[in-house]
Amino acid sequence: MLKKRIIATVIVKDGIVVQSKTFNKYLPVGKISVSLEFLDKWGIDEIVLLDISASKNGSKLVIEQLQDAVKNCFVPLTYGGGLKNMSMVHSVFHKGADKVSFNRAFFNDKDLISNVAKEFGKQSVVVSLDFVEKNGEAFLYDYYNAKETKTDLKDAIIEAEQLGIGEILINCVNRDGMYNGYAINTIKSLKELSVPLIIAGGARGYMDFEECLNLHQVSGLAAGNMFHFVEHSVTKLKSQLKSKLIRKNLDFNYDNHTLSFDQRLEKLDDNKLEKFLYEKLLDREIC
Amino acid sequence: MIKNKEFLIGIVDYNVGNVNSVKNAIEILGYRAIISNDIKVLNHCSHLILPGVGAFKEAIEQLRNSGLIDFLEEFIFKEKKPILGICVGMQLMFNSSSEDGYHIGLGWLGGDVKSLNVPKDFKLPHVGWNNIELKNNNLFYNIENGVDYYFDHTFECIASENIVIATTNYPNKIDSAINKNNIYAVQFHPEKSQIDGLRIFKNFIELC
Repeated sequence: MLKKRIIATVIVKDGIVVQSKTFNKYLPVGKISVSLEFLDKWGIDEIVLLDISASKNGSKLVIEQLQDAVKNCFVPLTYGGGLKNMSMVHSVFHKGADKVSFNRAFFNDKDLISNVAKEFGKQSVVVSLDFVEKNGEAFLYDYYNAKETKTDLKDAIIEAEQLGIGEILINCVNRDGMYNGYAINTIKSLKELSVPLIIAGGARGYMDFEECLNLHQVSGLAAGNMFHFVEHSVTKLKSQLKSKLIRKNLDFNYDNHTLSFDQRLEKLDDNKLEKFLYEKLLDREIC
Repeated sequence: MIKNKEFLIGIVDYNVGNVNSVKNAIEILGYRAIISNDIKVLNHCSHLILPGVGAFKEAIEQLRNSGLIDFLEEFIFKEKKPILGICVGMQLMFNSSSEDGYHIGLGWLGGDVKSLNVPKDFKLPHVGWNNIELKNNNLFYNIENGVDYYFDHTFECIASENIVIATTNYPNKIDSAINKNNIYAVQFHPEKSQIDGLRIFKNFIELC
């Protein structure tokens, strides 16, 4: 059975990973390579790396350090930010991205998106759409000009699907970093898409994930801020989620399935830990 | 921390896709890996990996242009050294593909590549983590039946020979891994499947 993906969005501003709040306040977190490595080790299913300063000031900081940043990342990585032409897309794939995400190009260069889909296959192209909720309706948000548009989110999704792309990511701007849950009403109102849909914006804890996991529209659930500044945030989330729809991965430092009364991960059984005591373990123990 | 100097893993670079992540995975396991399109370099390798991302047409054209096919066939059929195809790299090994027209493949494996056949409420591409049902094979040493791997594809290989060593359901059965003599291939991405993916590489290098 295909699992629903738990995805981490790593937002990068001026070369530093940040937490973002409604697209206008930012809190620094740290180095990209460290964030990616930790998320991978904690068992995330996929990572979306977004450089939010790339479109606006043409910075290539993230692309330049991408190759080193992915050295310890063994999950699929989507890169987004400042992709203006085919040669940039080429270099991003070459440096270690598996997919590219387009946001700005959806407004001003749709041909680029469909060309990339043709050359690299539709499975490697994600279109990311920001939206705002207003009086129970959802409108497309133009991040570059920092203003909302009059385009209905549903129409934008249909338009994106027609470009022959592989996935759509929708991000709710008014919920970004606000910890008030996914835009569940908007998501529910979407009709069946032909491509997988990833939702983002507002997730705080496992309750939010649980609420949306069962929706047939949703293939991936993304969150950003809640994964930072908390040890084993992903592992803990996956332990809290009882759903069989997600991938449970086993690590050997902690028990993947039990949480203590205060919602912390339980350590492994003492006998098991003792077994490790005299064994030299590689960074990644695979046998 | 080079673990074993007798192995040198060649990653065939024919201008398609994400070759660096395969190299990363092999190096983290402590083996030497080299990305190249130079026959002299690849000829020294003990194992080859044929990676692949993207569309079949683009990939087969690039491979033909690289002029590596004769060398690869000698490596596999004469020298009998092992090769591992990944994703589109696997699809290329079959007779033909119907992705975006009709294209002749390398014909190393019996069967064809066709579009995934899914009911209406299943989305394409087939992207995400899905579990595999595996048969007993060296490639799966120390890997439990039913573990999840990362898939990302719209077309599937339909083998006409008895070479399938793992299958996946979406919701119909997909041939997700094959083995014929010294040819190994997987539809999923072991370089993107965390520890169970690394195990595949380790097994391929040590046991195949």
